[in-house]
Amino acid sequence: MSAGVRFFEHEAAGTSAATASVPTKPRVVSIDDSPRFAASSMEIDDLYREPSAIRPILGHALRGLAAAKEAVQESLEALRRGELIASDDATQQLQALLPELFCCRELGDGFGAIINALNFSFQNARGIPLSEEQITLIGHTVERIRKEPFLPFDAAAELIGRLEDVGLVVDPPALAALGELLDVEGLR
Amino acid sequence: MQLADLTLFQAVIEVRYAPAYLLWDHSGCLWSRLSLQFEGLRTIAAEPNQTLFRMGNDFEFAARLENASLSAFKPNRTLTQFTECAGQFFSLLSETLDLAEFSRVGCRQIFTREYPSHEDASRALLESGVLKWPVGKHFNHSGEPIRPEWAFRWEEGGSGVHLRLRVDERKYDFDPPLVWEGPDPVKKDRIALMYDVDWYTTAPVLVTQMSFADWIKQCVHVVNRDSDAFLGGLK
Repeated sequence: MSAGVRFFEHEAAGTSAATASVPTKPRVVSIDDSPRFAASSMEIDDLYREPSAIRPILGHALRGLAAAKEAVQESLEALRRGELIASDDATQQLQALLPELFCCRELGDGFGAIINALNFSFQNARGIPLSEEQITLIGHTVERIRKEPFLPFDAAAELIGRLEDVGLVVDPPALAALGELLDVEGLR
Repeated sequence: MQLADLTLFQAVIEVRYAPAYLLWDHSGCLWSRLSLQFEGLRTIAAEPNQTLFRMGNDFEFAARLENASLSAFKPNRTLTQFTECAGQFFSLLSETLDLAEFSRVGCRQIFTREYPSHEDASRALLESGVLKWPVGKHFNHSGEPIRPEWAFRWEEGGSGVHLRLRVDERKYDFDPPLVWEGPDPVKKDRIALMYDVDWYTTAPVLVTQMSFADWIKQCVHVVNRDSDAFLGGLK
């Protein structure tokens, strides 16, 4: 028995619409297709350029992270001008954005973990201004999670590790208190 | 003519990537995990460089060495089920083939409107005014134009749109085997005016940037919102 259904013919250049039963022939990979030489990846605002059509939670997260990025920028610029209070104000603005961003954690485990870690970093600092190195790294982390909001937990854990490397304490303050208690009791 | 006058015939989402040789090792893993998620998934083709599966008569999944796609035939216009399937399929695909980046992501929606003949379909497209057809003899030929085609592509900031309007033909053909006892074989030719929108990325997209649910929803929204500007002239 032979049955044939031919759907519309389409150009090969676009998104392939027709079902192909011929196996893909090996071809020489051009330099443009090589991951080593590929152009830089897409800007997130270009990828989701229709904010009214995406999930509100994603739109909210992208807007919040853009504001956070700006706050970091402001803080660093103020710090470089020697305006310590202005710099601290800007980091406080960033801190204020974090609880709302935490509400967007359903975007992914990585997203939630990073926002949580940033939030605890500020809480554990107990009002002491952050160093330029710490603010810079926070800025890189915010930038990365804005560019890749669906980052997996493993990649997020690596970023959180880097925050710890510059002296930020990313664990909940209650955990630190528990640690102290265990030390006193000699249980740790 | 408006978009609402056309039928959504096919929706396709395709991702392209650098050769994923893990396909040769992990195909079985991919499809067995997908079978748990999609009931009634059946094999259509399984070759080293291509595995093709169907679910019912309206969904087709394909994983190839350098691209993968999901096609839906006559899906609902909101693409709800399509979006859901795409999210699950591409998420498992990237995990199984260890993909970090898509070199291109494209979402194509093909709308059609059937006409009794090529002439009628061609006339509908020519009368829209998107193409100019001067009266009389040209290039030493007279007669009615057949199967006119109009295409337009524009790109900006890492993504682009390719629009096509054309007259096309679908042929349904069935040759029964000897001693066939089923219904009489039929041959059908369907002539249709096709409105084809391909929304695609031109810059690489990281897997960790991509939410297929949001991206497809955005494509559907934009196509529904802006298509009438192009179709408004069609009779």
